[in-house]
Amino acid sequence: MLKSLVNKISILLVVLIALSCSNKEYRPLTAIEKKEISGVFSEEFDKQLYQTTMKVFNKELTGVTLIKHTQTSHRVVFMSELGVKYFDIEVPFSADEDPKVHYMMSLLDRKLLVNMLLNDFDLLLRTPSHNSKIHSTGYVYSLLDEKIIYQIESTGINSISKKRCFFKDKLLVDLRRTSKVYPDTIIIDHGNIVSEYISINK
Amino acid sequence: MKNSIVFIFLLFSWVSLYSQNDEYIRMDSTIDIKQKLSEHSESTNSIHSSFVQEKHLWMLNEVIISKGIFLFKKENNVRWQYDSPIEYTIIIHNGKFTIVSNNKVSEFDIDSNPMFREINTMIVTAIRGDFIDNPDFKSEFLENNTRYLARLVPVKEQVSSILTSIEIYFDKQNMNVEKVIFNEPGDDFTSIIFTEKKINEAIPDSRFQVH
Repeated sequence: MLKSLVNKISILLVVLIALSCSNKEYRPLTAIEKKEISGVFSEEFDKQLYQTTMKVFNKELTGVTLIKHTQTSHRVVFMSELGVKYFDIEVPFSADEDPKVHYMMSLLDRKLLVNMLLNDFDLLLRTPSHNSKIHSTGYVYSLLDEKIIYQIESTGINSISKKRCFFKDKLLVDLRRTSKVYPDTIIIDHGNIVSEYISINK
Repeated sequence: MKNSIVFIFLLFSWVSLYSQNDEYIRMDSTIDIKQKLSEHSESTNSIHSSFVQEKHLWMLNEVIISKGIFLFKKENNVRWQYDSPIEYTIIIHNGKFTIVSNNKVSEFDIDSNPMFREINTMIVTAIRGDFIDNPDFKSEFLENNTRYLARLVPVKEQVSSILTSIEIYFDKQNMNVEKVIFNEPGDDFTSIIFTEKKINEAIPDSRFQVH
């Protein structure tokens, strides 16, 4: 009796796992869709300044972040209002190259924080791969690139989440935008470390 | 042909003369300038000035320009107010360090936070020109026809890892600070140029309080 119940529960669990981890609603991209894939920052993007607040545990850093498109990469420089540089990170366009740190203020140079920043900007600045799958529901599209889901509306990507099997997808980057070229607001919330970037319109 | 040669000669002479005038030469004796700085510091009770800050990011070939107002009142009251591209104000008053950013007011005890203490020292020191015999910096003095240049190298590792040197340019006529350059490790630097300076005009204490 007990053995039979355990078996049934096991089968039910396997079915639940299979269903929750299924990507059945997603289909491969067509050739045209592959050409139209755009990252959070579009190909026309040149540079943008963001007013920045970064909460690291109980400390708060404020200042201005410059995100700039160079010939081979995106460059991110966060500096205080007085001009003192906090960090300078480069994310190459090529998926074969890892993002790198050009400068990190000693105060922030902690392995956990540096890796988190590198991952965040890698996620934010890379374009979804051509192997991504797509799922549309009306005007909203979702791109699934391995375990990363890009939610796309008419103005572009408005959130980046991580797909999870048993739980609700985890929001990694929250974006608000009125332009297809760059987002107006970027929020990256890790709980103890929260970064908020608000575009500065000159 | 002859005219062209004369013109080129005159042009080179002018460029040469101009660069000689503009070139800074290390001062053999610093007794005189130290005396002048000390007198100027003593007689400066307040400063009201506009400023333009240029952050030069060498590798990115970018200059980020900020503008605002700087107020100083003896002994140690400072209002450092950025109006563009973002609004941000630092106030130093009664030993408190207040930051107003995004309509949020944060207050710190200057002495409770070594980083703020260093920033406070750097700002006040650079703008007042009150750095003579300050043990936190190694200083050297240079001059050209119109300006004195004080080059300060921070001694403390905490500061020197962020700033390699501070250059302060003084008008020889009146010893007012015209420009300050904060040099960083690498080739990036921040320059602050002061304009519309009003020295020793009355500044009410209320300007050093958050409203």
